[in-house]
Amino acid sequence: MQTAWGWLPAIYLFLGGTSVGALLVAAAFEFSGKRYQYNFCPTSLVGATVSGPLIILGALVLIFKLGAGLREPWRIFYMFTHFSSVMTWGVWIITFFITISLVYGFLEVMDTFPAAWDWLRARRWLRKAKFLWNLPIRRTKRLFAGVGLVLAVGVAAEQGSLISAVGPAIPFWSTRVLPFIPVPMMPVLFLVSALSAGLGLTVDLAATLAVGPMEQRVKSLPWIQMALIGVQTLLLGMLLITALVDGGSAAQSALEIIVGTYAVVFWVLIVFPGLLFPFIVYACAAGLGRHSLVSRVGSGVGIVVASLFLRYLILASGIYAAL
Amino acid sequence: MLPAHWPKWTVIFIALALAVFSILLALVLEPAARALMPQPTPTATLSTLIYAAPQSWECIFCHTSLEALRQTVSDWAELERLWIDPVYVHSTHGRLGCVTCHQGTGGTKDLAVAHQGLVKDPTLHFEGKCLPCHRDLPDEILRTRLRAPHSSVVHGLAQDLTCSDCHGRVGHGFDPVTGKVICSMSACIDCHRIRNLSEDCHVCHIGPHDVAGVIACNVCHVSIERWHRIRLADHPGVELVGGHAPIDCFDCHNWPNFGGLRYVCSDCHQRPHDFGDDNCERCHIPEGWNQWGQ
Repeated sequence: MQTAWGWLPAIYLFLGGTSVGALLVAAAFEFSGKRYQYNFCPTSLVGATVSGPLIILGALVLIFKLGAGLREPWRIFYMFTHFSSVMTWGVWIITFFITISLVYGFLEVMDTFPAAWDWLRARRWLRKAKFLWNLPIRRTKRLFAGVGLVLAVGVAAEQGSLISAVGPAIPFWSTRVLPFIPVPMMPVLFLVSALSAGLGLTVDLAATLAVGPMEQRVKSLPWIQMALIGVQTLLLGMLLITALVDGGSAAQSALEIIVGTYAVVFWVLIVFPGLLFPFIVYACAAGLGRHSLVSRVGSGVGIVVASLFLRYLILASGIYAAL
Repeated sequence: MLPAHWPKWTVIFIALALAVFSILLALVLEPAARALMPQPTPTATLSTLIYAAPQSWECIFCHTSLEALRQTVSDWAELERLWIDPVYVHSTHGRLGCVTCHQGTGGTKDLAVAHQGLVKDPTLHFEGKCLPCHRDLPDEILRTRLRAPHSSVVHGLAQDLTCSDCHGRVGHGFDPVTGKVICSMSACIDCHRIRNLSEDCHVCHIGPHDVAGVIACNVCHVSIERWHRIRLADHPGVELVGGHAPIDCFDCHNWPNFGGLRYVCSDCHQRPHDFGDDNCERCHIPEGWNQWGQ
């Protein structure tokens, strides 16, 4: 067996996915008005602010993976000019996404902490930037959230598409949604997993630590999270079944995941902490209206860790097609 | 919950810390998790080949262009032999690059330097060139019902035989695996004759019919190129004449063992009238349903 890539691309995919998910959740709170229901919305604050740093960190990790790019950094700029390449589309989408997410994060901090805005305004070297002080923060923030939302979907889909594009060599990565539906599974799975990780980070972890059980603020949250886990489980199941039906090295990859070398990673480090445990916690939250803070934070940590393992598993289990 | 005196922005750093913590945790847990499962036996892989696709562009430029080849080759037959259809540059083997299998010197336009150390038939060194990718070669290919002496070749028992003897210009347009370009059986027959090997069908073909033990294949199968070309002159039991002569075996019989027939007309024909009985031959003759016998 020859597996494909190692940890660095998996870490990039994880950081990129979490960044995308966090921004999507923040944008959803922004557009649904939940952001302004209370004075302090930790979900929006964390979602908007961590998105930029996470994707930047991911991009840096990716540069370390580029052997030639690291030795001859000017080559990285060539990646902006090959418009027929999925990679170039990704480089442009990520570039815009980094910019937008940083600005969005900055505006969210300024909106949440008006004192910081006043402090900045008092800086002598910033006084001349009068246009800045006249900006309607919330409307501008909403604009950036909207653009960021579109770009976030683009980043998640591009990450999956990039993996799928390697498909002919590694059939598992280009497995279709269903054997008779010619749509690659990876972009869909990566987007749903990114959303799940974003909710885990911003709601289960950050918001629970900051203000307690979030379902008291947004009643539908546990149901949304359960639905997301359901969709993710369904997609994972379909991925494995389609790969098994396809046969060849795709089926070999699926078997490695289910009962082979990666079985412990799959069942113990993805299914349990990322799907099963959080589902039980959300079911308790939705049905009984209660759960312990530890279990909610634990489910957040579990989902985030599992999303990293999921990306690693997909990369590591990719087996080259027999020529 | 966080202590009340902690600033609200602390959660931002906790979230970032969790992302970094997840990475560190994963790096620790993953080897431990994998250690619990049996590891696969490492097998020879692509990495055992000196992968040189990027160095092959000069070879491809010349060998896919008749104009470029004409500058050094004038004989038309030789030109045809050396020319490679550009389509096959993107085939699975083509994407490996010429130098990976044929060696020589990549990345140069100098004809002499490029062909230095060239291996015309890489399959002569199949242990290092073909087997790293093509492992577990089957001796029986059930999909096409063929027998192939892969084990003998791989284990050196067929010393004068190598991959290209059967697989020919694989990578250059010949693709016996997908069947898009198949090997002519006359090539197999010629080779068997030269080597004084048996030409019996069973040597290479896995017959699907249980009658194969009692009837020689060539009683019915008359072509060595087209399996479906059949001669039914020796059809046992019922003589196939008239309207019965051109029909295919499995229009009447069940595949593969010819069962399912009672050898009466009503096996296939429905009686369109009330009079008479199932013995149609009282009136009809095989030359034509509308022709009546005596």
